[in-house]
Amino acid sequence: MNYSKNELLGFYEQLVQGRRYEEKILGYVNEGKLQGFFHLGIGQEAAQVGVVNALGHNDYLVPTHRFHPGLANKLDLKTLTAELLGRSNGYNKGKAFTFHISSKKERLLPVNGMLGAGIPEAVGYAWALKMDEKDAAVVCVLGDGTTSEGNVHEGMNIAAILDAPIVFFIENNGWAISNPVSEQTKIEDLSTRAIAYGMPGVTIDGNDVITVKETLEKALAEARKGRPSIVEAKTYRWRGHFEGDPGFYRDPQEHEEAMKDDCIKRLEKILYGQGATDKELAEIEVRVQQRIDEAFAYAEKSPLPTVEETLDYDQVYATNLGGDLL
Amino acid sequence: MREIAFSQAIMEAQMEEMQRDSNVFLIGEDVAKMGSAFGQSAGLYEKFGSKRVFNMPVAESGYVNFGVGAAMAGKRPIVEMQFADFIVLAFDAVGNQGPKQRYMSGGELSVPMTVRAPQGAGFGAAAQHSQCVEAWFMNFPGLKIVMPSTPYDGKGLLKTAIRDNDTVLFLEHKALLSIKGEVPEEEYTIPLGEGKIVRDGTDVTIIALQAQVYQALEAAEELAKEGISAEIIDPRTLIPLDKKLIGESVKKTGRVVIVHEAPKRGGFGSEISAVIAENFFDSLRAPIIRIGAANIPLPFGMPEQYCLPNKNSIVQSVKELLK
Ligand SMILES: Cc1ncc(C[n+]2csc(CCOP(=O)(O)OP(=O)(O)O)c2C)c(N)n1
Repeated sequence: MNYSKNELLGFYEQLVQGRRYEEKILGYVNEGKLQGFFHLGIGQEAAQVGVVNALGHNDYLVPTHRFHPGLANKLDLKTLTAELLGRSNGYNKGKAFTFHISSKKERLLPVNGMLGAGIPEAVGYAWALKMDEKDAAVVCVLGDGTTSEGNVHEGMNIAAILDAPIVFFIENNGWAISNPVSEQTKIEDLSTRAIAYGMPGVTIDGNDVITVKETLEKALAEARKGRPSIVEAKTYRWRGHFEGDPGFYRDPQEHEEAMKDDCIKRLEKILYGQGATDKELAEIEVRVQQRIDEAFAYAEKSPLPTVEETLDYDQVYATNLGGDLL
Repeated sequence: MREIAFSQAIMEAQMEEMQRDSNVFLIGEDVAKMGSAFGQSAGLYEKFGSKRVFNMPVAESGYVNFGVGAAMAGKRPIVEMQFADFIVLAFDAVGNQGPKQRYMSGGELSVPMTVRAPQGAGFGAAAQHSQCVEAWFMNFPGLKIVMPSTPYDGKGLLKTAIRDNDTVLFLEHKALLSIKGEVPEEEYTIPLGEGKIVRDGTDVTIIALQAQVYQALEAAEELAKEGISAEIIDPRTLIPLDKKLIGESVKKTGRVVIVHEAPKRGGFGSEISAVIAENFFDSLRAPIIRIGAANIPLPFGMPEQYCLPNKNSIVQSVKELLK
């Protein structure tokens, strides 16, 4: 193992933070306190935390609608939660929610509500980084379902043609709403699509945070040299597609079986092997929960957008030509 | 003053803006060595090289979205559609992505992208290479739409569009790309949102777009012989729209004919008509008449003309109003 116990505890804390953050969201949803659709990534924390930890300081990330565990570790928890609750001090003044969240400062490119459209956009951004001679790359995350979009084909092909500094990270959780991967495609590993673009592609265990991180680090190093690639991480969606989806289309036995491979339990085992104690892990739980509770308390106290802020045309148009534009 | 073709005016606007700002670049199908399907980019590849002018594969949605991403990163893409009809494949990019991103990000990420698309009939190129598409885009908050009728306007407005910090759809009319018009050597720009009085008149206002401006001019000549004085207005940009100019003319004449090449139903004429009815109803002395293409997928070849408005249909409509 290349990592010290303390480094592993660090990853563990992030996985726990991802899961507890979404459990907190779940609690709010169940109390009817939240608006919007919530797509939770419980079970997929290793894939997302692996990505977040592989990013270099100058790199950019395009997340998906199911990326709360990753965001909860990459962003400022209070500002993220304010956005989640639609408050005007959120990352996007409450206009984005986690459907469209973005932040220049955090090098976070927008989540796209139109599946697939974000892929060529990410390629355009990556190409611009290269033109500006930045030593940086983009990780563009997409789900298995999204890989069927024409935009994904077009975007990946353009990335290859232009030698764009980008890694396409397919977070394959087995399902696109009610449609299993086996009914979306005839291929076994989605990363084999890379052959069609003349770029490398690899499929990895998405529930192993270290594997994800290391694979992505290598892919990013290549990407920064203008060699794009696809990394597919296989994981599993524990919850329904969104909160409120009973998921009766899944076989209960298979579902139970799949959830046995818990990325947090896996790292726990390794940690015990390295001599970590129950007390250390319990302390992490307490710390994480406190941070999350504080973030939600902060967000709840934060102001909702006013009418004026909502109908602010300067936020629609950068060159606001006034009157007749509206 | 020198006269140049519309396509050259487009080329010059792009060239000048690329010289002025190194963030401006041009992509599309066959924009590089070929200089675009109608010569609108002739010589730009040779002048600026393959990092600023480059071909994209046949992937409209992919490369307009590529432009959106590059624009968010601070570039100023000019993205060319080979034919405006193909824009349906990039509908999401032009309508949902570029124009909405700024608001969705709380004002942080703008998309200063210009999408250029040659549209319209005149080549008998049948139903999927001939339509005027402006009305498809009237309902996207955040988008601006420019639709010039002369080389002079085309150049001045395209330069402004490229400098604008929002997503602009710039529609150039294929049948006008080869016409010549006066364009000064000196630099100039034309602001978005200012319409133009093409011809002064007192009896009727003809509001015409692109190729129909020329039909309206011929109609006005004919009407003048019968003592009817027609004023012609070219809005030039649809979003923003110069409602003031339209209103002043309506107040003067009290009669309005709106003519465009796109199908009449749901066309831009419907919007102008509603704007007039809402704001200047009291000035109207007769019902508004809209003229547009027939509700027919444009046929191949010669019969195309049977579907489009022209001088005669404009003259007829004006006479009806004055009856
Ligand atoms: C263009 C488009 N089509 C359909 C949808 C509706 N939709 C939202 S999420 C989803 C499934 C996506 O599956 P996947 O990419 O595997 O991501 P996951 O939700 O499993 O994380 C669908 C069909 C959408 N948002 N955009």
